[in-house]
Amino acid sequence: MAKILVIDDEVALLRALGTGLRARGYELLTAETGEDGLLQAAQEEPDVVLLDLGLPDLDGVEVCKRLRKWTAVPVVVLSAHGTEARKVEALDSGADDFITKPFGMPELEARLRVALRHRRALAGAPEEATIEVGPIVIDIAGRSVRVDGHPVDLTPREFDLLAFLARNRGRVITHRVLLEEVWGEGYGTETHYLRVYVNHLRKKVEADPAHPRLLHTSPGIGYQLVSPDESG
Amino acid sequence: VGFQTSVAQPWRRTVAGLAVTVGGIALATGALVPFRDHISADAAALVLVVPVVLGVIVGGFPAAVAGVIAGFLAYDFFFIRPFHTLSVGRAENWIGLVVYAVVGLAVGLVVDQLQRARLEAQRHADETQVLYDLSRLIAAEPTVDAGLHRVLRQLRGAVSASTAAVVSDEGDTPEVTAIEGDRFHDDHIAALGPILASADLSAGPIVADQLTAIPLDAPTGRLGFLVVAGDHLQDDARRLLVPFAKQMAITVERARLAEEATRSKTLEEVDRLRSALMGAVSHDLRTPLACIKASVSDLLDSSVALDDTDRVTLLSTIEDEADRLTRLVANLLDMSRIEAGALEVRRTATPIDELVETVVNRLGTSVLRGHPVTVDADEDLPLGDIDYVLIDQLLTNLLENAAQHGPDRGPIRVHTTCLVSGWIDIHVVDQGPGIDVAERDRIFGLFYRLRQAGPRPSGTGLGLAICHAIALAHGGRIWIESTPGGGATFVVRLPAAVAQQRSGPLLRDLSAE
Repeated sequence: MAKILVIDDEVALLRALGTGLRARGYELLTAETGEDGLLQAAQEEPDVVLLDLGLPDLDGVEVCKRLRKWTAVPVVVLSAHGTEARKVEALDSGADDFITKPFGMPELEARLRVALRHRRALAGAPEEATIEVGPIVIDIAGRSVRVDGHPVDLTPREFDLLAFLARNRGRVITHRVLLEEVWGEGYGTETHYLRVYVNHLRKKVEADPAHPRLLHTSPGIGYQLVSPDESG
Repeated sequence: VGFQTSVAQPWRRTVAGLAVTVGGIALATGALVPFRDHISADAAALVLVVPVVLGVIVGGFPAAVAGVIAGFLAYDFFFIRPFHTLSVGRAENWIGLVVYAVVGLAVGLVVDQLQRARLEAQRHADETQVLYDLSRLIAAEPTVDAGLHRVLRQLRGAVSASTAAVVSDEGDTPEVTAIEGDRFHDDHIAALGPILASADLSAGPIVADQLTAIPLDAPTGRLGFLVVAGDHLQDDARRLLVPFAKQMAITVERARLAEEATRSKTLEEVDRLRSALMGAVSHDLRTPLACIKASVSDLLDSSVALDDTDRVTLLSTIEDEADRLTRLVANLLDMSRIEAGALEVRRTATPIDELVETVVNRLGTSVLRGHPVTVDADEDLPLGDIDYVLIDQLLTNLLENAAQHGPDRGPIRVHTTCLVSGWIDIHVVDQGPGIDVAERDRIFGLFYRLRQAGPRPSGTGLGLAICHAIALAHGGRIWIESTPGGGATFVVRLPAAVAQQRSGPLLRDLSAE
């Protein structure tokens, strides 16, 4: 049974989430302050942390940074702000995904499943030789990609982009991080490069590039590679 | 303002000087004549120089000339033998007379020059003082406009003008922007237009038909004209108006720029607070919506098996959060009414203690967060002369505030009493951390919470600002005291209805358990 730690100061939301998550078979821990959340994360070792960005004592982004100093536990940010800048800040500080309030329980559960699978995958093999994401199989050493068993021709840049997203599958990777990892330092603001390369990649790996099921866009924030069965 | 010295009329000085010299010589002659057989003529000549010097100090060089002539004649007539004739006699007597005239005139010249220099220095000092006072006057007033009027008033008095005004020459006809004293005639203003447009401004003040106009040139451009009207305006005063206008233009422009800077800073601050309020309001609206959405989506999800307890929990969450939204919307509506000045108080004679009970019961556990609430009141409490809808909102906000800031399950007491005849005091007593004396007045300000530093303001802070406005709208007030033993006590003083009494003991423990 997966353990979920919810850090949010809204008691009513904790109660609503708690009821729904318990009914879905999760074990629930709750914290109303950032400090308490950090303490419980250390003591109880949850499988996923749901973190509100507006806490009374600590900024949510700060909680995220402190968690990342010692744990790789998936962090899904609950954001009521609606501003993209805050989400990007949280993702760059080590959060894996975000969900915007108000959200439905099925949507939340889908994010939890992605986060949990991501955690298991990371726990399994730190330096994978091949990575599988749904129908995509990536041979890291041989720099080759197969989709549904058929080889696909990728440019070196496309391969690097796909490989980086695959190594971080399930996580929302911000534009800035993708550009710096794949293109290098100094490319942090050239988001139009990304749009072009992601479109090329979709044509090569998606069954229907107009309705992507593997390579998702978070408008204004970044991209995320998920297995189609995870995306709920 | 020291215009007076420099405007003193010069012919009066000359007359006074003549009187001093001629009178002085007459006096000296009269005093010396009885002794003229015992003193030498030269000694008399020395004495006769004194009135000339005194005359110069008072009346300038013309007095010296008159004095020398009078002294010359008096010397010759009374002190040179033969007496009482203008005949000079011996040649050495001529020497005495010529030396007297030369010394008298030379002393007159030197003293006159010194005197002029002194007056000039005095005038400069006066002018500097005037200019200094001017800039201080503009800066001392709360607005540039008020400063301008004060300066014009001062100027009008100083130069004895009937009118002092600032006239803008933008547009076709001159427009009076500030005026002190008599109003301009319409034809004056009409006449001023072409004069201002055509005049050679470098030649000094424009003088036309009892009007003197001086351009107000500030570093960034012309602000208009300083126009002074008066029948007896002296050239001297007119001359002084030029540096006056220059300094005035600079000061006015500086004051205007400062005023503009303050205004834009204030606007910026209001802007910042408004967007902070929007952020806080949207947070407060979204949070209940998030709870409702999560609960409803759960209830609708057929793939999840919820038991009856779960269903009740989710449904009561939905109800509580809907109530919370209702309270927030009520506060927002009140706020917009207060801001628009449209808060209407519909007074009826209302038993306040019963209203308190109703509110406490309605709020229940979810708002009061498990704090036990005690309600008690004076036995013979008069009815309140209040709008019960507004006071309901006020009590709701105060109780919500007490529950938010009190310690976990700490008791809250609502005590209603009549301490001052004609007024009813409601005390809402919590045992929270209390409120600093310095903060007690500011806490009722609209943006108090939003001004607080910290990761996130805990709410919009509308609640207490609304309480304050509602209390004031009733002619009452609200303040904060310290709870003995720790905590804050909010006291609301509301008017009692006249000559109505009600009785009935009330002491109930409305423990929220």
